[in-house]
Amino acid sequence: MKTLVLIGIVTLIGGIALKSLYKMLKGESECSCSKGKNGNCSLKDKCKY
Amino acid sequence: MIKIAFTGNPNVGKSALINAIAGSNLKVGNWAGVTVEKKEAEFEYKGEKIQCIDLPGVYSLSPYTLEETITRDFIINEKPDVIINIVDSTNLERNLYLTMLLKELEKPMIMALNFYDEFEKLNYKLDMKKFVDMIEMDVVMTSATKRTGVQELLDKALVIAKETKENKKYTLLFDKCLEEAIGEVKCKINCDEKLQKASEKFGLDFLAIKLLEQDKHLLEILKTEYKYEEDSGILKITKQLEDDHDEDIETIFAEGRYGTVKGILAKTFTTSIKSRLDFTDKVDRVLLNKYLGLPIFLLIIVGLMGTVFNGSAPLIDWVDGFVNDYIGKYVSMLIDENTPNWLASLVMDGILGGVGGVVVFVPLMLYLYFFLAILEESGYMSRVAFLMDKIMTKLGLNGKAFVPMVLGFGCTVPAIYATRTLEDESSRRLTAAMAPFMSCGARLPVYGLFTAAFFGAKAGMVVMSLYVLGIIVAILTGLVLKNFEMFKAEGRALLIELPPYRVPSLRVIIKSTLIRTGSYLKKATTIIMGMLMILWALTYFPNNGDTANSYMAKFGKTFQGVLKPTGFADRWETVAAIPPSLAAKEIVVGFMAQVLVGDKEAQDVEEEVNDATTFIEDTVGQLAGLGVAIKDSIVGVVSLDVKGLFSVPDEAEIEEEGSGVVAATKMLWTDELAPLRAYSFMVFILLVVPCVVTLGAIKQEFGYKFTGFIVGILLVVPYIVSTLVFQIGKLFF
Repeated sequence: MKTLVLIGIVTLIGGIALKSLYKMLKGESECSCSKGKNGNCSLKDKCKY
Repeated sequence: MIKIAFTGNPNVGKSALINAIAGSNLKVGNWAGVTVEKKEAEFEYKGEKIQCIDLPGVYSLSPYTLEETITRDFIINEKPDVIINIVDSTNLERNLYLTMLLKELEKPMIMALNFYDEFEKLNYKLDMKKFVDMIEMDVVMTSATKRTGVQELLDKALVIAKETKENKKYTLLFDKCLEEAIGEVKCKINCDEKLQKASEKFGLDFLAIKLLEQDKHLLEILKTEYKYEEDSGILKITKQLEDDHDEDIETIFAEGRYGTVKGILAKTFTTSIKSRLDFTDKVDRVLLNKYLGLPIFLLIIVGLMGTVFNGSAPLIDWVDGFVNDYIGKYVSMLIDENTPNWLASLVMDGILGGVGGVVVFVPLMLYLYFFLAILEESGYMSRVAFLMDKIMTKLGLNGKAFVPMVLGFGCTVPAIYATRTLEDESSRRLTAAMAPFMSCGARLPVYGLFTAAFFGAKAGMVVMSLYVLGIIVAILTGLVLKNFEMFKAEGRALLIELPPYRVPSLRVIIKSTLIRTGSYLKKATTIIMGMLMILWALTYFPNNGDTANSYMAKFGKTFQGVLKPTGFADRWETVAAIPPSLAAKEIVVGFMAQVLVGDKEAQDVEEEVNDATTFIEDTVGQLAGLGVAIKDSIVGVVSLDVKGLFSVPDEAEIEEEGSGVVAATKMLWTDELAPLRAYSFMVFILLVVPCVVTLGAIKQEFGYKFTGFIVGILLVVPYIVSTLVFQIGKLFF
């Protein structure tokens, strides 16, 4: 039972963590510019810190 | 949706005002250039959806820099419902010049006279009724930091946005000669079908003035989008004006606008003898002194690093204990004899050990961000650009190029985007090539770990030397690169606003610190955790926990030979830590915690489980420990031993330091060259390719080819410098 709980927790947090990593490597992180040059860039606020 | 654009000179509190209005978290700072791209915040107010757009601070609307182009293009193309022109009420003459330019665009506007509290303190007087009549728009006195006038401003802006749907005509008040010239060009516009069509978009006044000014950016648009061919008649009027005034056309118009501003202020504004600038001038006489300026800057960095390390050390110890003894104890309760070994190792070593190793340095980041925010808010940071001007001139740049580099101390990504404030492409490229050498915040945990393990109480001094080394390497790289055609900058004179010194707002500092630290914590529990789980798998398999024969060990051992001259590559762990650090530099710390602490940690936790204390007793114990750590931390900050930072550490002192990951890292090298090897490794981490997000920013701004070139530099330079540090350092050991 304990092992099942542990696997569940690890899968959940691991899934979230790996998804964030994948998004970052794909260029979809908070600090990426989503559009193009000349003012279309929309950085999220946190990136500025 | 009502679209409100906020515009004004740099450092007039635009972002702070939007934050006060929209409750958003845009970055603010007492220095020019904090906002280099437009940013947005959305909220609902009185049943209306409102979109606030924070445009970069600009002095003019000439298309010489990217931020000026961004601001001008946005106002023309996106047609905001109302523009809030934010004006520093303590510096009206300079700020109102932009107001005059904005009026030429014929958009509905309202003015926020910001820093009103300071205006009152200085005993300045403004005849508001007369001022409003002459400036031809509503004016609201505001103080973004004290949040006064904010609601009135928003209410009035909404009324204007709803009422004014057409372009608004303002009286421009140029002298007779210029008025006649503008009138003549307006006639030509009205007689030309193509120009008439363009005037619907740009506004008649703006188009006439820009045609007279021979604005290259606008002429290009007219030629491509409206098939306009240059009118020799307009050129003749321009030439005539230049001959009559004996000045170039842009100066003639600039003087005209300043003349209008002076006229308005002469009739409405009275100043007192007391000036805020008196204090700033006095302080600047010392801080910007030709001989004292740079040494004082270095002293400030020494003090900063000393305070950050002394202050955070007790809290780091507490977090270390909290993660390993407290969280570790309860997590390990989920593990029993039926739990597969790989799962127990993943939880204890991979996740708890790895992420715990990164989280341990949260107090270090908290202190760094706190003191950086104080420096930014006080107005000192923009002085650094001024101090560096002489050195930067040697590279064909000017001190302004140092502003993005200073931003790089926080994070390299905004530093790359901040190169947009520079006038020409070569300056931008050269600065973008130098900025990654500035030591970003993500590298600090790596320094924190290795200095605690190998340099003990002198950690602050060692870290300061790394920051300075980063600046030196950036400058030396610039000196080499400037000889290449693509980096040959034009070497314009420095024109930068030095903001007055202000007592930093505690609310802004705390907010900035918490957001930055929160971001670090979030990164540790998402991206870094994801990478550490992959790294755990690569160090656990194929031999079920035999780290020394794992995939990562094989990889590290393959490249040990190439990196041997750097001195740190005699351990495969340091070599293997470099590629994953591309995702985030903090991963180096987590990886060390995984591979070095490993079994030791598991044993410790097992012993703890046998501990008979209850959950409540443990929690109370932790809280009591936190109280002591906070007290020790404050004592550490207050009793900063700057002298101690310069002395050589003795072995006994180093032995005393650290627990957990620090103690395990200490075992990496035990020979007499250990501190030198650790320093060489930190130098490599300082100078090597920053994270992939930074590379993404470079690619977006300069393209793939340039990014490839920068990656090449960021691999060769750290190799050379680390090798030099180790090989030369060896001579002194």
